[in-house]
Amino acid sequence: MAFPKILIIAAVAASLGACVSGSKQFLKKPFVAPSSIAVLPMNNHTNDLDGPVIVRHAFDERIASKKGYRTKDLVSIDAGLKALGITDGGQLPSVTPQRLGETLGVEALVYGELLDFGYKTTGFLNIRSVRAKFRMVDAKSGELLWEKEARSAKSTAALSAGDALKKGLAHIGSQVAGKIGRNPLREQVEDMAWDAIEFLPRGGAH
Amino acid sequence: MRKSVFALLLPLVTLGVSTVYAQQSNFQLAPPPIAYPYFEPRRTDLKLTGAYYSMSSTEVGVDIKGGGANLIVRRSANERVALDGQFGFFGLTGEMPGFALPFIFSNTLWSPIVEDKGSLTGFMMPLSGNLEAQLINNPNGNLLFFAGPNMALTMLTLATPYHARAGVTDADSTIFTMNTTVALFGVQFGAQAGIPVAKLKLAPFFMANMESGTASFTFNHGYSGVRSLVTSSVVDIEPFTTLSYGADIIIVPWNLSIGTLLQQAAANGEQQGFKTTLFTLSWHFRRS
Repeated sequence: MAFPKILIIAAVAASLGACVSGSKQFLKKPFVAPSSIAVLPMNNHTNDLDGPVIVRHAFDERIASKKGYRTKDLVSIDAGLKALGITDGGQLPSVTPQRLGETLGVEALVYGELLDFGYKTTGFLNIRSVRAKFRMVDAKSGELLWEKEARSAKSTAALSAGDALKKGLAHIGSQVAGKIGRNPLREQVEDMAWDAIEFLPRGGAH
Repeated sequence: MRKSVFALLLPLVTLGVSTVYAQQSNFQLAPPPIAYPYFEPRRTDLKLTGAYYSMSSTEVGVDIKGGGANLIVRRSANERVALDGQFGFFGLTGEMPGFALPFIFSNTLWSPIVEDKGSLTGFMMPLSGNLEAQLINNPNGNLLFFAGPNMALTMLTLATPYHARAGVTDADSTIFTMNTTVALFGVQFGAQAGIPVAKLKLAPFFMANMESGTASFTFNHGYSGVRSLVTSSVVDIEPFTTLSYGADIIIVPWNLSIGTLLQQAAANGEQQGFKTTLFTLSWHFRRS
């Protein structure tokens, strides 16, 4: 009885693979790592208000610690943007990269869009998923240096109604625990950040 | 009866090392050996899993309960090299069909009359480690190799109430005890790849295990001054190699492993005829 369900999932997987293209990174050639970057507030396409803050913080921390980029601290960035009248990532297109670069005193800007941040609980298939797109732009020329859409997910699938109930409850439990701990989807956020920068050439700060 | 007892004992003895000694010579759709092939620099993953397990069957006369813990630690030094280790301890206790062996006393053959089910106690202790090296890693795919030592120690005791009979003479009731110790040592090595194909990832793998060890059996009839017909023995387990190869298909947007689903389906099928309960509780710590 369970095997046909696996076949259904495999068929869905095959159709996904057939109709959606992958997301490889864009990297300007030759790429010269900027001496300093500012990770800007994210443009939020989800209905989670904590997500953009959590993802931005994780990306900023990881691109500095794992790839050696010198990042401007987020509090200073937000203060500088506030002086320009910007309090949300969705307002960033109203200001040119040149003006942002001059205001923040950095060589490059990292724009982010949060595309997916949440839990999907059906019992038979439960997914924790974070997906975001990042762009690094030269602050002087406005030229695109690097772009990557990254994702991380964790799923459980049930093969029977009883199993679905157990896994659905466990999934809801982990969702509640994440909210109580004020750190929802922590592992997915960290994995997504690494997925984003894994093939980004190292910076020169360390 | 003895045949059925050994048939039940064999999977118990191999339970603790089943992941290492799974005899697979045909292609299998299964999760690859390195479950989380992440090489994020200086990342530490620690996963502690506690488990409670019970298995019973009135038809076979088995009622076994057990529990234990399993610890998996993984540390990546950089984007190329990682170390992983696994240690587990599982204890079990319960009842199952028992047996006893005949013996000689006063030049007379005494045959066993089993009075009740056997009482089973024991533990299993698997231990393994790997050095992982990711030699290829780019947006088109990755290839990693792994190798390391492993060992497994299993000790089981089956105590069966019985009395001996010679002709029409019955001896007092006592306990027949069989102690089994299996120690296996070896190395495993292999390779696995990750190949993105649109929103899927194919993960072919290959793994080899080379093992050797000893198995010892001791028997105690429960009566003093008797001569056993089956002596206690230590058997060398000659070096042997098992090979396994296969692949997994991972649905990337969901990070869902088809191989894991198939394993779940197979596990459900294996439980037919037995009433089984499994509770697990995992704690995952990560520092990166």
